[in-house]
Amino acid sequence: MPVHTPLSLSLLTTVLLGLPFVGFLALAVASRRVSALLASLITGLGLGLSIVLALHVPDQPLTIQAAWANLSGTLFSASFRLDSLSALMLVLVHFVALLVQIYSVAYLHDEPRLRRYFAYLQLFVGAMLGIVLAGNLLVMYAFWELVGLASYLLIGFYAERPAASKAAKKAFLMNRVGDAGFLIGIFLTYYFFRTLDFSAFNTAGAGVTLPTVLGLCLFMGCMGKSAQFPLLTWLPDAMEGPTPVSALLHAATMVAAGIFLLARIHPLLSPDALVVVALIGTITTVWGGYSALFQTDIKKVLAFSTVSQLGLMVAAMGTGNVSGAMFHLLTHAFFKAGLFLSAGAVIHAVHTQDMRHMGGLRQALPITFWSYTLCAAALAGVPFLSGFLSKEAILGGAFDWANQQTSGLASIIPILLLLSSGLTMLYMARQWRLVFFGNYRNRHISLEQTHEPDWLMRGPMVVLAVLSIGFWFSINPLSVHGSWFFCVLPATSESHFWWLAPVSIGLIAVGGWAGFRMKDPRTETLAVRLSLEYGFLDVLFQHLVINPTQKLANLLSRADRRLVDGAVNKLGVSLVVLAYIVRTLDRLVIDGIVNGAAWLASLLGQMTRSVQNGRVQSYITVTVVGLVLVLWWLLY
Amino acid sequence: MQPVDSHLFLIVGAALFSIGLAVVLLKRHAIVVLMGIELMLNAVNINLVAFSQYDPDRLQGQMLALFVMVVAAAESAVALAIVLQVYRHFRTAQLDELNELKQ
Repeated sequence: MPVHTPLSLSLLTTVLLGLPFVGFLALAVASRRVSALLASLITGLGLGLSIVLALHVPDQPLTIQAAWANLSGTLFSASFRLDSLSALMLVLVHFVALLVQIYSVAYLHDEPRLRRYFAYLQLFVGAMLGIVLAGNLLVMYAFWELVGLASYLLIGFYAERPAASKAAKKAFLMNRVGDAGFLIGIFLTYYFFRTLDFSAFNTAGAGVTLPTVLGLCLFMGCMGKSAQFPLLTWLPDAMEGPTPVSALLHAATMVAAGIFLLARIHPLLSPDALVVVALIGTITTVWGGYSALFQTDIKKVLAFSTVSQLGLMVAAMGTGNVSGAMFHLLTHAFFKAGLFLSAGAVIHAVHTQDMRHMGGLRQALPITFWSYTLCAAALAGVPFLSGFLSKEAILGGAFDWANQQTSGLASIIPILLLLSSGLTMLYMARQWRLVFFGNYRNRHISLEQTHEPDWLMRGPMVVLAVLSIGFWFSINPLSVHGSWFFCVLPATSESHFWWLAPVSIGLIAVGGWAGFRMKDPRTETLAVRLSLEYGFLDVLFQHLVINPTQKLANLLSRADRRLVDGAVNKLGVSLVVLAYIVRTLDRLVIDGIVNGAAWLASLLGQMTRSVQNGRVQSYITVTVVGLVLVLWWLLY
Repeated sequence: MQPVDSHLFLIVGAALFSIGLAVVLLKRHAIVVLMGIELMLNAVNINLVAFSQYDPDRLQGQMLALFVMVVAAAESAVALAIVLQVYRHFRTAQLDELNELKQ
């Protein structure tokens, strides 16, 4: 094995970070035919590089620094950091992105704007790599915003659909709310610690009472990007983007950013802040799970399951279980990407997203069915699959944390988390039944016309489904202890609850049975509407934020019309009056003078003309009179 | 010979001049105007002759009066010729109709 010096590692990291951006620019000029190949090649190359990096992660985090801005003696550097956490994310992001791009080649083969699509994907991946490799909060924030931009472009990719552009705007704006808090958090961090470097956080937090507000502000960023309560409503709307984008967005590039941020800033979270984080995560889990329960859109169910799983990860972060959360992020990335790609295959086959128009697709789409089943089971936490392991890690950590809390109320959090994993099974089983079992209910396309997608789409689905099997993560299929993952990221809690696995298996069995047998209610009861409209959060926002804002805007507009426009109008009227006065004056005085002069001139002309009348005698008269006058003057 | 009071001559001269001037200014026919001019010239002649009595040796006034008569004869000849030409050209000799000078 060749010895990798830090120098060559930092060179590799720089190249890796630069690749997607070069790809973004190259795709802007590449022809449509090669764009897909080029994009996949770039990401494939990135995957190779990141595997090399991951295999040679140094024990000490590798930092690459370059001066960025020197503000009155304080140097803000553009620093990047490579450690086991970022190496893990590098491989994950590249892997999922590669599969998604291969899948997109077939899924979007009719799309005229394919080149732009792949260029945006590269930008998205590049921005996420920036977040993963960022060495301080400032660099992270820059790439954080770039992720926001890329997600805006991709969610609104079908810009001709009003719903898509609306969803893109919503996603962007809701993220801005979180980002505002994040930015304040960065300022506060600098204010308290005089540094933004991640490497300094471990020591900075020690021995000092951490301000809770700081952690909460930083957590705001995570709330926006990772769709935590109450900023979760953009994620279901983001389903307007192309399905492969949803896969990427939900697995590796966007929502993972918030979790990754929490992992980075975990030392800065005070105990109180951690409780809030855990609470928000738990609320999100339950909220998302319940909202998924009665959805009819195949992708919206998956979207809410993402919300729910993200809540689980955040709750794990809140209970101090960083490695558990990251583990769930990893396993979730595989099975959620697999689910979205399989859902894409279903949509591709039946040309609808409404599950009420599906059903009985088990025989028609066998490969899709099996990969969907594997991924869904992993999501629900069925034993022998990856989701079971990561959920066990999170739940174990949560119970451990609850035991250490003084208040007995703390155990509400792990219990709710446990129940929500049963809820996951419930809605996934319902979706599974609606899509693949029962009678075929689509009137537009006959069951014979539905067909499996070609191998470019099948391949990524199968790979992701296979990776959802627990064996890859832990030899012991029922326990996560001893997994290779926790050698990379050391686990925080080693305690093992013997009753946890049986209880969760029992819950899953009950949830699965209920979900499979559950009949969709015919009438829209309050409970159904509560789920369909995700707890009326959008209605709440409408009344709480949007309407007051609009009222304020209307008020300001009226004030503007009344006061400002009124003043302007008054000024205008007075100017007009003044103009009239001036005009009259002008006519009377100035014109009068001019006209008078003209009149005088014409009078004089008349007078002189009348003298010059051509009559000799009058000339003589004048002469005589003049002579007499001259004589008079001379003699007297 | 007892000299007549010279102021009587002057009165006659002045009257004659005034009549001549009035004729020049008021009459409309060119010939009549010429006659007015003759009257004025003769009024001057009377004055010249009247004042000549104060110069009995050289009689400059009377000499000048003779000159005036000669010049007046020449002048009226020229003027009558002009009036004739004017009449031929304009078919009139009425002065108030002759306003070509206006242009």
